[in-house]
Amino acid sequence: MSAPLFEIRQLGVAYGDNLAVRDVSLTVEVGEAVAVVGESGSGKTQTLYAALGLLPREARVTGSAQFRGGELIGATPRALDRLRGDRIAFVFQEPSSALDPLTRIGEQIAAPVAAHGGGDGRARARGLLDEVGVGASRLRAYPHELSGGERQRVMIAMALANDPDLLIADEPTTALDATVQKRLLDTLDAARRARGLALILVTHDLRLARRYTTRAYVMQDGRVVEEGAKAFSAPREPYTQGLLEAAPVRPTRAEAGPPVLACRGLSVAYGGARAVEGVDLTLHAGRTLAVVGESGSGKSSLARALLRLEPAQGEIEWKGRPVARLKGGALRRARADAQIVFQDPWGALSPRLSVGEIVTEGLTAQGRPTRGAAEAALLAVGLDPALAARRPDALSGGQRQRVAIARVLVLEPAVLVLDEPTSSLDRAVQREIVAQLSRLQAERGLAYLFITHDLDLARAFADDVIVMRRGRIVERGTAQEVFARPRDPYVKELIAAADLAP
Amino acid sequence: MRGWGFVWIGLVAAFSLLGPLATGAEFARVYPDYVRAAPSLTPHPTADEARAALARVAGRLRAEASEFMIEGGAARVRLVGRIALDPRALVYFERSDAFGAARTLSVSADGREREVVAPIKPLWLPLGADANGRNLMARLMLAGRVSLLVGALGSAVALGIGVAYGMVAGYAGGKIDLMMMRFVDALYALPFIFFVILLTAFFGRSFLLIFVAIGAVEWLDMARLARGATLSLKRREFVLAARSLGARPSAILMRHIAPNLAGLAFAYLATLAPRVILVESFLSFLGLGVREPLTSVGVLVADGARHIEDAPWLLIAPSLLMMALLYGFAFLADPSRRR
Repeated sequence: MSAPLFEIRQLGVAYGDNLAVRDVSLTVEVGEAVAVVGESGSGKTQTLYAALGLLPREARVTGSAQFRGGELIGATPRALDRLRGDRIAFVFQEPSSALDPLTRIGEQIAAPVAAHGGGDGRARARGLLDEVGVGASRLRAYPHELSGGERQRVMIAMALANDPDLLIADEPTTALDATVQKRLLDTLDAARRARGLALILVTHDLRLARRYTTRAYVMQDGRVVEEGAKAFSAPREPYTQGLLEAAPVRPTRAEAGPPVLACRGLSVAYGGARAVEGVDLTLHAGRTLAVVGESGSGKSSLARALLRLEPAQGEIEWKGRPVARLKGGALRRARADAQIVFQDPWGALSPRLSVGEIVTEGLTAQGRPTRGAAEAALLAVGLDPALAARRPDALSGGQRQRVAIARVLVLEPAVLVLDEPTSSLDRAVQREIVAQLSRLQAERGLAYLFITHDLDLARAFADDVIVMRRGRIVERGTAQEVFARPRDPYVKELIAAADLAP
Repeated sequence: MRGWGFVWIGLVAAFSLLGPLATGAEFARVYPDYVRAAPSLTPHPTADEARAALARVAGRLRAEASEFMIEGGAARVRLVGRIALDPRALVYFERSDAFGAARTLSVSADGREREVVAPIKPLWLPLGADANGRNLMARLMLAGRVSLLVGALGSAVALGIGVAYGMVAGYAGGKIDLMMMRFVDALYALPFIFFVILLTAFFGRSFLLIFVAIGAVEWLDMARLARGATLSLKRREFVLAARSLGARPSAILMRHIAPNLAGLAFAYLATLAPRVILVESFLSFLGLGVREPLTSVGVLVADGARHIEDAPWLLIAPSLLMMALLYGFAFLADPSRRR
């Protein structure tokens, strides 16, 4: 067997005493597609950045990384520059920040060609844009004129411009919707096969990796815990199994109680643009209704409008009481019945208050006694009451989200709107939160309006499902019906892209 | 970097606040003998100055001075007058800046000749004296106090009004926001000096008026900044969460908006305070600010500039103090702070 194209041996990355990556080895053969899989903070990006000299100076890198037999660790910046963007190309996660907003995309694609002595790359840019499916006609477009998916396609075209031997794609589709994600990766895969290009796909999504690569290195806490093709078919490590498993489907379904949240003809408009148009829905006590849709479908606007946090037209009822025209103090008092938990646990907790103050804020606002409430609420969501004295920045993402849940529980609301409550959390933490929410629902008979783009989670967690697209409901039904027999073509595509089969 | 800002401002504050206690120097006392004296570490009067001072005292006494000598911190002199010297006239020694009370050692029979000894009063003028013969170091200490006070209070007034106004406008939004911000625009259009002259015309000149005048003008920028920051803060999820919990707008402003504007206000304070100090010196230069014998760094720099040829130290020392002050604030405002 000939020497591998790219080989990392016993690589370590340390920041002071903090070891970010420990003893990682991996190899990539010519033309092979390999995945590096792990959750955020597992060291997967650090490993590859270290191998290519992209880490900041504070990082201490040990071990070896070779490309076609040439050592990369300790190589001069000039030598690395000759390789990067020419023989080794990168696609980053965030296409909107990786493209220069002031330069036409054609010139951006041509730039790496010129930088590596390939002459004028404009003709090449034209061909590449056609190949990645943006179309040569967009050559003179600026990045802001493109959608997120198109921008990422431009990034791929840039990466391919010099016919590299190795392409490293770092979470290339994480910022994109599921349907866009699948089409984009199909394009990338076709381009890769046509060129015999080797690919390292860095991702947190093992199921995605399984579809596009042949082997995986699974990383946890800076180490490779499992490697090979078996990681896809028969994972040995519980960590890997956890990454691959579908969310567990909830066994018991509560009987429907009285309606606690309802709206009729609800519309939200920003300026001239309509974010939500004529939505009707009813949510009963003890039930979970999932609102599913891709970004821009209006599901978050709907959630906020339902809670009177966004100006809207239409009828809204909380616990059977019309609230659309309530104002001032009456509205503030009524708010205790319907509460919201936000997606981003970092943005949803005021950084300047202690956890105890945050949790009891609702009681203070409603003029109710706060004594002992914070401790009780923290216990109810499975947190140590001693955390009440801490500030949110001392907590992990999962702990923060529990605090956000405790904050709304103190008011004993009838309905909780959960706006993507787990999508910024790692999978294991995500499951704990969902389990906690299920427990709370069973204990207190809460109704949940669960906003998500994660179909897997919606299927596992919801009794009923609404699918939104462009501000309208395109499909509704029980979770079983919608996922087993979708009627709308868009919903069918969505479900296919989510790759729900375990 | 921010630490250096505190060090510099701390040094200026220590100089201005503790300096007078440590040296006991008087800022308002005029020493006619030492007008535009050069900075020096040895005490005044020097032998030459003592002789010149003596000549002036002798002139007052209508007498000739001879056999002048200095020994053991006292001056000894023989005074010869055309008529008999009145011993009470020796009080002129005390009135001079250089000598203490004179004592007669011997008198001639006709009273025309008198041998006198007077102790020399040492005076330290490490930074020299100004054009009126006042101790420049004492004046600098006073100027530092006045400028720091104006900087702190003027900025506090401006920040207080600006943050509160901008926060309310930004959070209220809609028509209230529109009206409040058009009012700010209208105030922007008012010429500053005209405004200050108007204020002085109505209320007369006072130390307090400077704070009011500066605060009333400089809050406009802060109001715009605070409004902009509030507009983005009120979209943040923790504010939405507070609204959804049923918190009153006033509670949201106090608990969630104001604390998060603190960082912005502090950064702005560091650019505002030196500007307020400069504005104050500009006003004082026009005669609308602090009044003699009070002074401020800006006034001292302006005075010093008039003597740049004959007494450059009068410009250099206040300029250095102003630099230290502005430098300190520049460090405080350094946007590249790391956490």
